[in-house]
Amino acid sequence: MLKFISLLLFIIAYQFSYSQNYTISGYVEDVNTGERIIGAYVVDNISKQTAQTNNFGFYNLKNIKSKSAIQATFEGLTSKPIYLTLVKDTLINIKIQSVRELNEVVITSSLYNRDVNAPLGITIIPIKQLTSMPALGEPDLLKSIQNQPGIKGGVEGSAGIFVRGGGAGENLFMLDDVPLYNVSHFFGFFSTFNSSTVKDLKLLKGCFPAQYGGRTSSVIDVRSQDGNNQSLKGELSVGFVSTSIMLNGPLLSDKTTFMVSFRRSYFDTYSDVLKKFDLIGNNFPAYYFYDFNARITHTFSPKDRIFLSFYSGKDNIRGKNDANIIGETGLFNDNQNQTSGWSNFIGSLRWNHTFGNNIFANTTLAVSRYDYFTQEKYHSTNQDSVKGTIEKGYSANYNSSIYDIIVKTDFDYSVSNNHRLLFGGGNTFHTFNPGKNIYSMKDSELNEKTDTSFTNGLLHASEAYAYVEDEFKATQKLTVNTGLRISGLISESKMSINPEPRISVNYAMLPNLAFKTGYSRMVQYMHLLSSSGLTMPTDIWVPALKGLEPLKSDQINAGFSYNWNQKLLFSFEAYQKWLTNTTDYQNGASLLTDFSPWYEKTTQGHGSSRGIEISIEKQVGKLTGSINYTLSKADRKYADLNNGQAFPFRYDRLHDFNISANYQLSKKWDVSALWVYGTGYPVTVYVEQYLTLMRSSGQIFYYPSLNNCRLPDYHRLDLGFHYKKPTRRGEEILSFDIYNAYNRLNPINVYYDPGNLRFVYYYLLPVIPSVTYTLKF
Amino acid sequence: MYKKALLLKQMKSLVLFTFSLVLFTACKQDKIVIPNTGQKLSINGLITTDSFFDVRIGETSLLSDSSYQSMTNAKVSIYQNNKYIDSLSSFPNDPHNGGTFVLGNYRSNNIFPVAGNEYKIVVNAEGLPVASASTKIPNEVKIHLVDTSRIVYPSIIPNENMTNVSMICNIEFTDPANETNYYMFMLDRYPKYGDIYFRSQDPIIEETLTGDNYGVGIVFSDKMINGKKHNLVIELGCGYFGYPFVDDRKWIYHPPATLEGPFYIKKTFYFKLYSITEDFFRYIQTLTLYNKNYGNPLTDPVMVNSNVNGGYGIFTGAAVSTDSLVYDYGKK
Repeated sequence: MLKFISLLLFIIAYQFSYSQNYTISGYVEDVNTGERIIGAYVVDNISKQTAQTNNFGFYNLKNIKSKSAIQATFEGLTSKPIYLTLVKDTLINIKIQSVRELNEVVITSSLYNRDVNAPLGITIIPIKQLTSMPALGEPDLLKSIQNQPGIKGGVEGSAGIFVRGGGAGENLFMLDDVPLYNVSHFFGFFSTFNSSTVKDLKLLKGCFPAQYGGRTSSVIDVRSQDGNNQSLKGELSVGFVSTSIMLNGPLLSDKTTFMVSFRRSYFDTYSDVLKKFDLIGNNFPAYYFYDFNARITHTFSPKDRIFLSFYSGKDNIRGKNDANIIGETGLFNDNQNQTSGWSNFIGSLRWNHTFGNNIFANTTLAVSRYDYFTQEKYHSTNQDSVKGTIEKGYSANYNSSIYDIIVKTDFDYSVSNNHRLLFGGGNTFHTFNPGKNIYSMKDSELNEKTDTSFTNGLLHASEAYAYVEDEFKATQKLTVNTGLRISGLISESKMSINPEPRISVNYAMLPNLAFKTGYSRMVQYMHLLSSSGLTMPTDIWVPALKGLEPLKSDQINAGFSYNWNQKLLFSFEAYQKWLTNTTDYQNGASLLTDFSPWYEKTTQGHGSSRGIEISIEKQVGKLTGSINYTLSKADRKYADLNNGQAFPFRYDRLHDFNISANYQLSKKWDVSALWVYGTGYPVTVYVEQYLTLMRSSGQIFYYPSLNNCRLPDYHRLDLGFHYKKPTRRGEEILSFDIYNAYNRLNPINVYYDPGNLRFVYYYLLPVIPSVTYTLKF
Repeated sequence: MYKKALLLKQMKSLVLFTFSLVLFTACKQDKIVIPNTGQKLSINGLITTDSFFDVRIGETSLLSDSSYQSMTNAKVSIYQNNKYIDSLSSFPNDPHNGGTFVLGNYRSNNIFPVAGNEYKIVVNAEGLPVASASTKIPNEVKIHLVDTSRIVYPSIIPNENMTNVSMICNIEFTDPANETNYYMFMLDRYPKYGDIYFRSQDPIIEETLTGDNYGVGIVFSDKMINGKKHNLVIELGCGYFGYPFVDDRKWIYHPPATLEGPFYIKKTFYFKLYSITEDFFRYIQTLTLYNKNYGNPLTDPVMVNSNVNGGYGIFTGAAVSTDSLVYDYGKK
């Protein structure tokens, strides 16, 4: 009894003492725009308690005494301290100046040290870096990611990314919490992300927190701007490839903001002009792409906020062939049109709500749709002097699509300043249209009319998940993030449920030295079937149904970070990744080879990759930049490909090195340079020959194994010169960029030319200068 | 009925897609070091129930070797249902090509392939690894009948080499139920000169053969007609698709020297339905894709299907059902 009373007294005393502490929560906002800042640190200078803002700029600081002085820091900028005398838990929004508006500011903060403790495998790409580095035509978000260690770009100039030996379809691209299926324009040379709208960019390639899932190799988490709540702002950018305009500002009051942007390319305008001067034929295809982003954010109360977001993007290519022929019996008109394209649409409604002062919740209801289509129309009219008008024609349409309805909720609960719990769940209702053909034909002379359609049938499946993630700072030096995600795919024919354990450990041996390690399993229920090395729209997404098993990855990582004298950040990371149920077309098969459905043309195998990544970053001072090196190896093995033998992955690269630098010459001028070097990619090259059974076809060339040769080493230098001039309402920037400055001809493939008995290298992009004008107002 | 046409149109669209990208590509010649993985034997043979047993034996060579390495001294053994039956001798006259000289041709005048039998070939040649392959000849699927009709298109194409007449041929057969069957349909003719082209928009068609010495043909499986009677429709003639059906006396095609005087053509057409093996079907599929992809820097090379152990090539068999039609045209 005495023990029980003692325990009761202890609990009451604990509760009493605990109640003397308060919780401060709220948002960190940009002082000029009201934009909520992701990843900012909030510090109480009295109790020395710290917290970090989440993906919505929310922080929660516990165990604060009645007297406190809180301050926020972000990328080296520090807000003025706010001195508080607390009598209860309080909501405080902290204003801070963000870097985006202060490009000319030289960062000298001592709080740069925080990167040492950044979780392993997670990189936050500074948005400033997008415009400060040389670009091909225009700044591109995905191309900036390609320079990160462990990331390979695909074909020269492409915006495709291949992460730690993973395929193109193993990357989850999230725009404001909603997945995008095809993030490429113009065969992958430009990404769908309009960089002027982006607020935050996070790349995850290992030690995945449990809140992320659905793809096995990486997550690219893109957050767009909410919109300025103070005044109307905008950005106009006119470049070599496209023109974009972005406007944002308050809508009626500072509680409601909007952001809208539009970007369109003008390749079709170029081709129209060239056709006008007969420099190209009239049947040359006309191509364009566009992106449209719109967002409305409304703050109902300090605890409630909603976001309504839309994205629509499309690529369209059109070919036309017209002929007018005067025949013996009359006039003959022939018109043929071919149009192909692909488009993405996402719409989302998100609701942020804070329960009490401790639990932050984000609920998302979204739709995401991806369409690919190709259509051909033919129409001919024969004004026959004897038979009268004879009309013939046909039209052929093909389309495939994925339509997702997404419902999910994520909770962020701060148990204490050292202990954070994230949990949630969601479901995606997938509807797949793997391919539908509609054909119609008419012939007035034969009095025939036909309408026919072929379809693979819609597939429906639910992809559900639930997760819990525990971020616990056990001691001042040791932080452990453990998590478990349970995911599954449920359809009429199949139910597959998989646990995905995750763990990440950080040990800060010294204030400027941290050792890290971790393990994560990721499961992916969709496969991208690619017919080529490029990111082509004909690459189709198929579900892990009809005999295909879900793709799984297991990855272990270890590394350390060291901050030298607050100036340089050294990072080292080693990884080993195993992939199970990688999916590819069988030898000789592709989307269009025969009538077989996709699941009869595919094969599953496994892959592995391993490597070390070294990075040195300097983000303070007039000279900023980074040096990145990756030593890696990746391969694949399928029972029925390459005679069952393992072969190098298509984007396996032993050495990958890049060095980038930006130097602030003056307040108006800065120069930047990027040099990249990499071992040549493996390619499959025919090396020997034998006669074919079909005798007029001559010899058949063959290769002894897949990816049996390597292209020459890749290297390239890009240069950028940026002139910035303040204007009354903002800033104007003139960028001169030179892609591939010394005109290195980097082959993308090699073929044998039997006529000349020589091998022929194909290369793509020579030196390309470009000029971009940007006006910020 | 136009699925194949659709696929072709999709391919055309793909070409359109890639075309603009290829415009930006350029090429340069260079020497690369190719490891020599050692030569092997190649065996190519389509043994049919209507012909002698002949195959073509060769030796693989590096791409840099411009000449084909013929094989005339190989020891070629044939087994029927796992029992040795004969050896093939070098016989460089190709029966499929009007008896023209073909390097590496081997034949037996004693073996007549029979449907349902399994044949194995074993090839030994000095200094090369032994190569072998086997195939089972599928059962014959008979052509029930061939029906024809003639159509005349408007004379709208101002090209004197072309014609506006074509013939529709209906070839009827029944696919055996409860088994997977593969077919190749070909046209042959006598007198034999040049290739004969035809077209078809039959939805069952999966591959189209162009310009080989077995005749121009189409290849399909029974995926859409399993166990059913099917009427394969092909169209002969009409401009680029064939010569013989001419209604225009300005036509300048010159008949063979043996057929002089007033315009006169008499021909026999042979409609041949081959019941082929899955191996051969895959061979044709991959060969078609191989040809399509070759030289396109944006596609991956294709390994043509081979069923030869220790070497390369295809050794396969087919049962053939034939029907014929005599076409007698012009003034006699």
